[in-house]
Amino acid sequence: MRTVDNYRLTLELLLNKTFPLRSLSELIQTINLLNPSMFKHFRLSAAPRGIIVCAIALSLCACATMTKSSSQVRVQQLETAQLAFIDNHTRTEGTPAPWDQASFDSEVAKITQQFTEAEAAESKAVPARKEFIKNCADLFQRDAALVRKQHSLSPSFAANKKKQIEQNYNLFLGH
Amino acid sequence: MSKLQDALQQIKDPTVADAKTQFEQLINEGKAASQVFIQSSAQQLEQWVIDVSNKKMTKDEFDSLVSSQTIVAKNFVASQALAAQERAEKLTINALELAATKIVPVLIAAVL
Repeated sequence: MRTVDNYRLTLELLLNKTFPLRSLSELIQTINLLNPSMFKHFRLSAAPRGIIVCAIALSLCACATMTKSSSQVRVQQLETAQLAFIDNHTRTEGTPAPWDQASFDSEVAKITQQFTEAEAAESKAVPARKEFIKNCADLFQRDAALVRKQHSLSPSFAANKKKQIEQNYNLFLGH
Repeated sequence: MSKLQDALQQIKDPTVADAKTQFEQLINEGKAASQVFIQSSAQQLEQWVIDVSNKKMTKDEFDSLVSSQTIVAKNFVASQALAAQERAEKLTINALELAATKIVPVLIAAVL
């Protein structure tokens, strides 16, 4: 759809309820008399306005919903990744698995990337969200540093750490 | 006697007697606080001290939890700012959403 058509429809939508349709026609005609090049495309037509306006309304609705939920989903995924990381490195009964530095580095890099992407995806409109994710990334790096040093985590630490992670993400997700 | 008192009883050094009393008071005040975050932080810190005293955690693990909790506290502060910023968002983005989901569909139905 051409941009001028979008303007025309928006103008029609805004003015239809504010002014009677005839007033809009008269307004455009008056402007056209004063400046013929202006509003040359703004002729009220009998086009299926309802359908097009519905499409615009649905698009607006979809955008608003996606902005809100995608942020929450991303943060939820970060929490899941961080909890899984703790589980992966908690000592279990029996012989501990041999330490695999390459696998560990790859796991840390993957989660770090997840944090970087989540921070970049946040809108600048709410800087506290970016700050929150940045702090969560810092939190994860501390856990990674401890695992790098000890190669495993005690079950008691893991339980306490998971509570701490949940407490942290609850501040954002509010559940 | 509470588990925390049991744990603190193991410290015999008289030079930290005041610190022990102060710590116990702070934990009790925190647990009685009205804000959930402060309550939860005090409960967790109490548990960490008990776990360290029972040798269930290493000192590195304890230190890691403590240093991480300072970041969680930062996020608590950020979440307060978030509430203020979300109010601004509510007045802008949410107003648009409301218009698109509730107002405009009804308006269209009324106009058509």
